[in-house]
Amino acid sequence: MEEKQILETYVLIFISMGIIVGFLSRLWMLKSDIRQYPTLPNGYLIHVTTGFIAAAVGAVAYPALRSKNYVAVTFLAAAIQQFRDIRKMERDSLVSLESSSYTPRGESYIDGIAKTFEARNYIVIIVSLATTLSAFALKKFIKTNWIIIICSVSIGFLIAYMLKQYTKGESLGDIIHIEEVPLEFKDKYNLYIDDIFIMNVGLSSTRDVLLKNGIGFILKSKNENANETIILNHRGQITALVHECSRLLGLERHIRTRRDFKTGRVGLVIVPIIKDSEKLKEIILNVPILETNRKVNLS
Amino acid sequence: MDKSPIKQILAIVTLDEDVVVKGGVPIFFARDIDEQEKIASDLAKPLRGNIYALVNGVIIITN
Repeated sequence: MEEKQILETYVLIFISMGIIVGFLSRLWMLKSDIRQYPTLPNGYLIHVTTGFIAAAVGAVAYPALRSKNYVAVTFLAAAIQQFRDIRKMERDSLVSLESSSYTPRGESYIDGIAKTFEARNYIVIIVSLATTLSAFALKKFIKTNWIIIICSVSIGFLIAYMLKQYTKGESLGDIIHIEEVPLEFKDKYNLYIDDIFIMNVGLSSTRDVLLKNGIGFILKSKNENANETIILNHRGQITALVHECSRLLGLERHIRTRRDFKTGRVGLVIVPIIKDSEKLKEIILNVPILETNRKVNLS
Repeated sequence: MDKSPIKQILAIVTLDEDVVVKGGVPIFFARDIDEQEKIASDLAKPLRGNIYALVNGVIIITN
């Protein structure tokens, strides 16, 4: 009678353990990037749900093979297809939002976000798979179920942690210095910060608003390293930066960036709704370095 | 940053008749600087244009 039972109790325990560990690691990873995306509450729910499905797929993969159910592997393929659609879905929804924003995210940024969501689902599959796999492997050596559970759960979380560290991107704060610089008008109408020309402002009332409410920053790479300057001067990177600044602090009127070709510095002038230059500094330093834009050090 | 579409001068506001040659663009004369700026900002609103100043005191409005 025991033999004919479809699922033995310990198999059931191991599978649900894999699902729970995978699911928790998805929740954990969602939390870390709430600053940018996904939107609460519905975007959040979508990713929690797909994370749960990913965990389930990962958790049942090994037990299915073990019961000589090779068809189950095709389900994995189908699941992977589903997760690729998540990337597409994210990209489509973000692209469709572009036109309703004063400052677009930029395609490089969107690509990075979409890829991250896809990758995180794979992390969940890997974590769940590793958890159940290690449980079945340990079953051969250890007879007590609760010791196995403790061991595999910690293995699962360890792998989740390692993958999270591995996929973690750097932020602009790692490579640039920023410096707040007062705005000034040269020849009456040309707006400069330091020696970087920003824009021509024809009306004196606009000039007064800029002088009163504008905040100017100069972004400069930390080292005189060519790579860092290249990253900073990437157009998608600057678009992402402008987007984050204006989204989080609001945009009263202008936001303008200008590159200084000679030195590779970037000048940024913004008239935000919340005039808090400390916050702005923090936002700029926390803008992620886009994955498409990342460079392996040449030197 | 912006994809640069072809920019055109939509109107010129000047104080001094001598610094502009009459071309294809509407030219507005103003009596003083205040009026010049007022005209420029009035023009820029319906045209949804940008206002730029030139070194000779002329204000141009572009799209």
